[in-house]
Amino acid sequence: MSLEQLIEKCKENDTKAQSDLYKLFSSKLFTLCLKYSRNYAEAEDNLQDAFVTIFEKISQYSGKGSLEGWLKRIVINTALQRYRKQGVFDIVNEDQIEDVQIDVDTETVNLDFLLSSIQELPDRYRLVFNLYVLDGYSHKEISEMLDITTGTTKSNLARARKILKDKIENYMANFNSQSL
Amino acid sequence: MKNEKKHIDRLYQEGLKSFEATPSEAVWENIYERIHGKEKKRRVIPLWIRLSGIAAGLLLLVTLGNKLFFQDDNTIPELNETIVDTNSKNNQNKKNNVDEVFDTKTEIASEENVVQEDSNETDPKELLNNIQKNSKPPIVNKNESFVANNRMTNSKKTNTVESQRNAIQEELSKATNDKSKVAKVENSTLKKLELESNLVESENKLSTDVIAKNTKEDKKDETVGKLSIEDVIAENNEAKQNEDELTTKEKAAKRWSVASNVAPVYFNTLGSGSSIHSEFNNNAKSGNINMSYGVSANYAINDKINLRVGVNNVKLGYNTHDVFNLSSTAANPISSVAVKNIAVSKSASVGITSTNVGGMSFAQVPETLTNDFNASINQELGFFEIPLEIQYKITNTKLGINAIGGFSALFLNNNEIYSTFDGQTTLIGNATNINNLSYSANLGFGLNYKLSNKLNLNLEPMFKYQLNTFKNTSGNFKPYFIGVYSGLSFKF
Repeated sequence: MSLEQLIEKCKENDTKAQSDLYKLFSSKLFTLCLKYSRNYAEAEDNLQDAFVTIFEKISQYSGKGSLEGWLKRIVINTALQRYRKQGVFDIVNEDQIEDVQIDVDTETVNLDFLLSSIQELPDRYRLVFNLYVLDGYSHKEISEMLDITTGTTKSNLARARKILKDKIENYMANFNSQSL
Repeated sequence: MKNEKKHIDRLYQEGLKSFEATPSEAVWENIYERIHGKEKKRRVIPLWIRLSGIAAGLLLLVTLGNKLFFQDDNTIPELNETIVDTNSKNNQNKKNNVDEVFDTKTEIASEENVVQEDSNETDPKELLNNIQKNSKPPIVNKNESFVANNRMTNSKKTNTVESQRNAIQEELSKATNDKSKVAKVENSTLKKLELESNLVESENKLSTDVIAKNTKEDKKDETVGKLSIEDVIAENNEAKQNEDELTTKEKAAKRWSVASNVAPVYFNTLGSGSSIHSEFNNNAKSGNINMSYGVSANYAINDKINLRVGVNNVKLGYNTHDVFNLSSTAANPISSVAVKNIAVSKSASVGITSTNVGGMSFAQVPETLTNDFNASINQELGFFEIPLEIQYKITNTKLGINAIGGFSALFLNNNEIYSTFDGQTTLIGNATNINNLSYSANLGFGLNYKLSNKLNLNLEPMFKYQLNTFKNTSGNFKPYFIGVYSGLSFKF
């Protein structure tokens, strides 16, 4: 069955097709959820909400653009809806943005650490970092998605980078002291 | 150490590029439930729920039907009875009335007798006869017709009481007239003229008494008659209610009962498959007869339907025959083949030479080998059974008949596989394809014999169809067991 046929069946509310679509994309979308969520449990919740939306709105999918892109967008929107309401953020003056080059041992900094360091970021920082760095949205797009100014998104991104850099440096320091 | 200077964005981009994680299965289940909520529920309903649902539906239908039809039928005859009752009461009253009239007549007669101055002991009846002969129209006849009349009127409903009363009065006055005539005739025959006036007077007096009495009686009658049917029904209902209350009180006190049971159970399969291996699908199999015993608590929801729950310990077993055992020294005929559904116990497999056996079914082995290598596999299972059943009373006499339906939860507590070869039985291991919790759909009927108000003797042949006891069965393996449960139940 082609992807088009699968989508058509999903539009007809065919349970088998829905299950197939889920199997096809659940891992990829769950990974996305993990990056946008605070933890594993919330990531599952988000995935669940996202798929419910997907099956409810699949009839609105026109076929323009890739299905994966459409699905990802729904997942991201689901996460945004959940987290963008979080309030106050430090506004970092753009002048203060530091150099985010970092000395790092890529073998030591493993995937678990990278993921959890993102998850531990305050909600808005996490969203902006994910959107800009990992999913390639521009500051303008992000500002529209989050209903904030590009100044704020830039500030949020800089703040996120700073926090992550500190975390990695701490982690590296700990790791090195342990291994010495 | 491979330190390099990297932009933090690149570090994350590269680090997470190949990352992929799988969500837990619960996520899909939840999604499914949210988009197909009701449909899903329908989809996953196990067979036993559907079956017991059907059974419950049937029971409900039967109960409702019973209430609607039979109760209606019952109330109408009751009403009729009441009416008949009142009538017969009235009739009786009337009869009494008439009797009294009779009595008075006899009195008159005897008085006349006295007047007659005949030989001392004259039968009043004889006298009456005399009077009958002499008088026209005869009093007795008149009275008889009066009685007949009365009866007739009575047989027509009570609402004619008024007219009846009139009729009675008329009759009575006629009768009085007749009597005075009779008296006159008598008097003339007796030639006691000087007493005539007295007699007439006394008779008249008597008659008036009779009339008064009769009217009084009639008034009573009337009141009885005037007791409307509704009143009588109400009265009757009250009486019935009292009765019902009594019985319900009695029943409320005896809603619960406990029962013990013991049963021989026979385990077998409906299909020809095997729970052990597809090799044995076509082998001969036989069920074992084992024992089941347990207790149950029984709650009477109403006088027709009982709900009961219990706990039984049940053992089941069956044999797969003609299993080919190539390694004649080994007691374990299946060690040579990896049998998917048996975890071979270590002790049993020690020292058994492994041979490549293409087929294990007896049928596939050359005949020359068969006699020496014919073993059988005995599977023995034990369960704690929790039956939940509805018992519907078809008859409720001294020997009661019930229909029983429900299901059981079966908790596995024993699971062993033996082989029998050359008369030697060896434990092979245990089956790996038996669910720890499974269900059975139960159907049967029960006979119970009331030994006393509290003690019943029960006999219940039951068929229990096992729904998901085995997983990975081969072929058409549909296990069931039949038990004839007998025991005593005690009401309290």
